[in-house]
Amino acid sequence: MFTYTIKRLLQSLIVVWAAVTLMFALFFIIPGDPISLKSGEKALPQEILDNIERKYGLDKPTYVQYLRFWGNLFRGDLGYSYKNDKSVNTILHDGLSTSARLLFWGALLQLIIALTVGLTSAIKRGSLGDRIGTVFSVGIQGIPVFVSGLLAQYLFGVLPFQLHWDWLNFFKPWPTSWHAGVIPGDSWKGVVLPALVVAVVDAAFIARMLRSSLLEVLRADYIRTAFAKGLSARRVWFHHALRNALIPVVTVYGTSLIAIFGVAVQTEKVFSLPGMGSTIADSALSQDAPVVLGLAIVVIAFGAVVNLIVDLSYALIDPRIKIDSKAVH
Amino acid sequence: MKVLSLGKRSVAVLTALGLAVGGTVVSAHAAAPAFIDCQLFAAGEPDHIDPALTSTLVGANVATMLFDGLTDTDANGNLYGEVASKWKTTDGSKTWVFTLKKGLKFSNGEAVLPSSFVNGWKRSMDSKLASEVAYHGDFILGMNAYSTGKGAFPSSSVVADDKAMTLTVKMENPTSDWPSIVGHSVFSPIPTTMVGATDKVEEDGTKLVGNGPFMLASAITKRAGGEVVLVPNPNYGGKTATLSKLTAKIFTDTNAAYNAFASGQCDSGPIPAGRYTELLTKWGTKGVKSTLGTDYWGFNWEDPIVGGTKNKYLRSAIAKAIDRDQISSVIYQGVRKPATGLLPPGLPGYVSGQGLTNSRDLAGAKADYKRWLDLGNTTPPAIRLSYNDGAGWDKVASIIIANLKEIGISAKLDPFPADGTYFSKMRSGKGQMIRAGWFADYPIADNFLYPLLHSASIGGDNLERYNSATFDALVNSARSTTNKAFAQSQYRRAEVQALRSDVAITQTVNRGIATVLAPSIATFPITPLGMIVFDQVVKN
Repeated sequence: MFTYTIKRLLQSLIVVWAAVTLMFALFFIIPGDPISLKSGEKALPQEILDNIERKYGLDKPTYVQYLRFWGNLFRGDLGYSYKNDKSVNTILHDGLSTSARLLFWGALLQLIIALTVGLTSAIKRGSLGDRIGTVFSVGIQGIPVFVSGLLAQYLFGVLPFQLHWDWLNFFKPWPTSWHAGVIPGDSWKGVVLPALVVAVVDAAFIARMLRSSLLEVLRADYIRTAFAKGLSARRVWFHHALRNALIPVVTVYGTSLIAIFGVAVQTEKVFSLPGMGSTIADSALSQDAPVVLGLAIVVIAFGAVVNLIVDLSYALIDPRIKIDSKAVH
Repeated sequence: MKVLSLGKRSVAVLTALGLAVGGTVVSAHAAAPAFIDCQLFAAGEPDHIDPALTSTLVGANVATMLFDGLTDTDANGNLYGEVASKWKTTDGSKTWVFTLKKGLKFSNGEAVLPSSFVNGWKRSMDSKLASEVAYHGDFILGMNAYSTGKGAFPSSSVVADDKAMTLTVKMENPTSDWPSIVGHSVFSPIPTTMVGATDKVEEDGTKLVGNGPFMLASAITKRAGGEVVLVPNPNYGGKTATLSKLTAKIFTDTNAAYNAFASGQCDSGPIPAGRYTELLTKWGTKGVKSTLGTDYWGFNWEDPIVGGTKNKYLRSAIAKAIDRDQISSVIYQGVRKPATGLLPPGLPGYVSGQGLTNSRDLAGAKADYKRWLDLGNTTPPAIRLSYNDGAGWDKVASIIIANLKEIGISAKLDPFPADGTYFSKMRSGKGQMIRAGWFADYPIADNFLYPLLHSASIGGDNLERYNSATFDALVNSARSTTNKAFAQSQYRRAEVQALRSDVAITQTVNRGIATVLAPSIATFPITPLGMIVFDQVVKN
């Protein structure tokens, strides 16, 4: 497993290099340049644009800029944003901690919702709970984040404020104070709505996946055998059925964790959280290459690690699955 | 049992992840501020709040709270001395002498002297700082060479006498409006501790030291969810700010910013597009103010169908057909008023009705279109209305298309991607009928007419590539005269030449600012330049 892990990590480095090089090239291919974009409704004199170009080293040939980028990267310096002169390292440091927290709470809520809805729907198939779960799954998936986010702000912020129902007002500022992962006071309320919005999108999909996977397993001969042996329903569902039904769900959950990054980006924008969400969109539009490349490195690395964890977790869930240095069997 | 152990493992992994991602300890926030603003940065973070660097209205709004310049414009549009007690020109606007008030201090206790301005200008115009607003210094003799890295700071053009408390400035050309221009934030003074400060100085709140009514309480956090916190400057020489603290929160979505206001998080908030009437009715109009800006549509002067002198009647037909009242009421619900010329009301020397028409003239439009056809022209292909997509201009363009249809002129939407390339494409002559607008940097007519319509600005802000020797001569004579009244009359004639005689552009609405305020806000002054005077905001 160790060799396999090392091999996968090395592959990930190659992926990061190739992706960043491609993106670097794209910045020079697409029309316009970040400096001339600074001229908006009011044009800037060419001499001013030249000053700015020199400041960021954009007057140098492309290959020099490329080599300088990697040289700085090896020294741990991702450069400065063309848009607001801020260090990309600082932007990533500040933004990623918020994004990671949102991602964590969103993923956790997603898992809880998906397991609850999926299990209920499968075990109580055809019941009212199953039907509500199905409607929830189909309904929620179709709502864009910017709609569900604003709706949540209205229902759990504006409306309770107007009605003086403060206990229901969960639209609060994102907590700025965290102690070892715990949020002091009642500032935890600021996490609830963004995390919920992140969670519900893919939770519905995972719940439906778990439901169908469980239903298939529950029809298997060994489940009938387990019931025939007199095992309790709870033991059969949770020990025999759920464990086997989890394999495809874990694959989907892994993919979802990468996709959730995209959802979190939109959620951060809708809730104006100090994460990477708005930075990604703004940087891409303003061709702020250092920020976009820095983010790309993080996102690709995140995807590679999640995929690796998913692969390794198969063996954890099902002892029949072995991992060696060549492949997953 | 194995089920339980799987669950325990999961809990352990999740807890560990939680600790890993949430482990950073960040210092706690201070107590509740006196005024929380959710309007200023509702659509995104400021570019800068450093007066030497900011090129945006919202960034400049904070900068002007931190720094006082020689002059400023009050909420009624009147020019007044801020650090300067008086000023005079000795040689017909070629040299200006400002006398500074004594006893003024920066927030660190250092005295504000004429040399503080020299230090400030040395920094803000330095080519190495690469400020986007350094070109405002080009009015000063020899400053362009310094700001473009081709020469040293023109010490003989900016002379400080700290004993006499005078600052003498020599101009490149006679500049009768210099006292208004020098009110721009790029001309702010700095204390000696900021000499040579880089463009990162604003990231450390203790180092961005100003002489304004407020000072930075902490480092600026220029990110969504971040905020700028200001507290009164204890050494301020003017009237002490009425607020004990000002927090301007940063959002990325106007709807979210409004929801934050409506859920009790802030004292002021923005109005999302299309909700002006509803929300101003609900929250009141204390936060509404007309500002020195105008929206207009220009005609590409080089376009074979709408450009040049031979197509004047087609342009005048279009200008007369546009229903400005409809644009004002439907799109802006009255916050942006119908414009009657390029120069906005409130600008010194403003005269109403300088445009081709004050109100819609359907009969005149039809007559002009017929005259154009009678000159041997044939029905033109659909005229392209170019605009930058994603900012709601499609709605304005759609109204104009419907207006033109009524006189038999076909037109179509010509959106350009919202990637910032619209203006560069218009500058290179890619448009036909061009969406444009302008907001005053300083309250003078030249700030509109020269950049927008002078032939020297082709490739720059003269998006229409309008080229008229008559117009240029009028503006040039206004710029070179030492007689302010004559200059204003020449600017008025130039405006008429471009809008009425040549119909190079046609105005639609004047700009305005609209914000919703909590009932506890009693006074909320806004200057015509769109600056909220936070030090005079009164909260009950």
